[in-house]
Amino acid sequence: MEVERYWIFALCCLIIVGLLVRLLLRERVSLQHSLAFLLFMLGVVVTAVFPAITSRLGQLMGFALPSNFFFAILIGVLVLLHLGTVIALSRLEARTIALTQDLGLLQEQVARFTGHARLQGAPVADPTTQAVEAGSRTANKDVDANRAAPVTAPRTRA
Amino acid sequence: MVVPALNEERSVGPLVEDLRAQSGKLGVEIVPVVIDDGSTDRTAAVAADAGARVVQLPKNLGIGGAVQTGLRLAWREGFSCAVQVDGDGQHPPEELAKLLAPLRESPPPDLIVGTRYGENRQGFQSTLLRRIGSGWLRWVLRRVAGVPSTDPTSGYRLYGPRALALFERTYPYDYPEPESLAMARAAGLTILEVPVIMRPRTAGTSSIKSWRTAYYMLKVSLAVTLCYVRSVRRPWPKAM
Repeated sequence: MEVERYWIFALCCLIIVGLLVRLLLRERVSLQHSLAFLLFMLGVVVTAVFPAITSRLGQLMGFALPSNFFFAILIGVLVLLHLGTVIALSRLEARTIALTQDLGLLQEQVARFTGHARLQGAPVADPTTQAVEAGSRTANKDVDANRAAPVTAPRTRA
Repeated sequence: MVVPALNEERSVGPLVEDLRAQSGKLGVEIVPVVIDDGSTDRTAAVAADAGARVVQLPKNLGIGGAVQTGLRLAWREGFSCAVQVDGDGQHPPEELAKLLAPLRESPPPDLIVGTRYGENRQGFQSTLLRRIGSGWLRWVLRRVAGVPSTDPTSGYRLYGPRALALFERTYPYDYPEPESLAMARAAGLTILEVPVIMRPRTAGTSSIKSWRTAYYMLKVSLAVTLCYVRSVRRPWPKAM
């Protein structure tokens, strides 16, 4: 009876591993970020197949019940895995913010130098007139004047 | 002039025009830069028509990310200072002279914050609940960071060159106004408050909706404390 229950548990873990592998194959998750989780799940499968490992280790570390030892380890590892995810997420967020800002600033520069700007809510111009307008703007010397302005301007500017 | 704006098509146009009008009156070159934080209305087009430079963020970053975009622009293009003005019309451009005046001191302060709680207490004074929350925040800032701010959530402020150099690298995104004060203090910047008159919002809705909750205050307090401790340990972090 005891052994059968362990096997059901192992089966559950294997199903989760299977799901993860499926996600990996579909490139929904990357191996780099799921490897730790994958190894962890496989480790749990091993303990389910060989329950003696858990009870022996639990005894050695002074746990009265093997299940307590098992849960303690489980929670500890999950917390660490989650922490890793939070760290990765925060780093990603900081990078996304920096990149979004850079993109916005560069777009504004490009729009000023080329005269092309497609602003949110701006009236949609006739494509033919837009092309002519763009052509005349590139020939315009104002573009260069704008560019020099920030460098040569007086100190007190806001 | 950095104007962070999210869906402020009704107020941003007059604001930009007022700012440009101030340029002649004050005798300084003013470049209004509207940071459109992913608006879904005509904010960007209206601002551009009014004569502002418009930086459109492709995705909404929140007020902190939007303000920092403007500060980075000012820093990269060598502007001597940047003034943050909220896009909702709460900050009258006529009050700009009060923010600029302390720049003549030597040495000029690095961060000049307009406070609506000046000695004469004119103009918009906010609601009771907001004032209670603000009081708690003032206490936290004074206790933790040693910043004697009377209006820590004020978004009407002037950043000098040293403040630009700092915030170009690192700017708080959670509760930018109070946190940036703690950050500036930890980095050794000088902060000066000047009383200004503020108006109630002309249009749109404030982005601070959860002011009533104690949870919000807890989060801000924690964020300010964390921000200060972090900044004391590493006041000038590497650029991202």
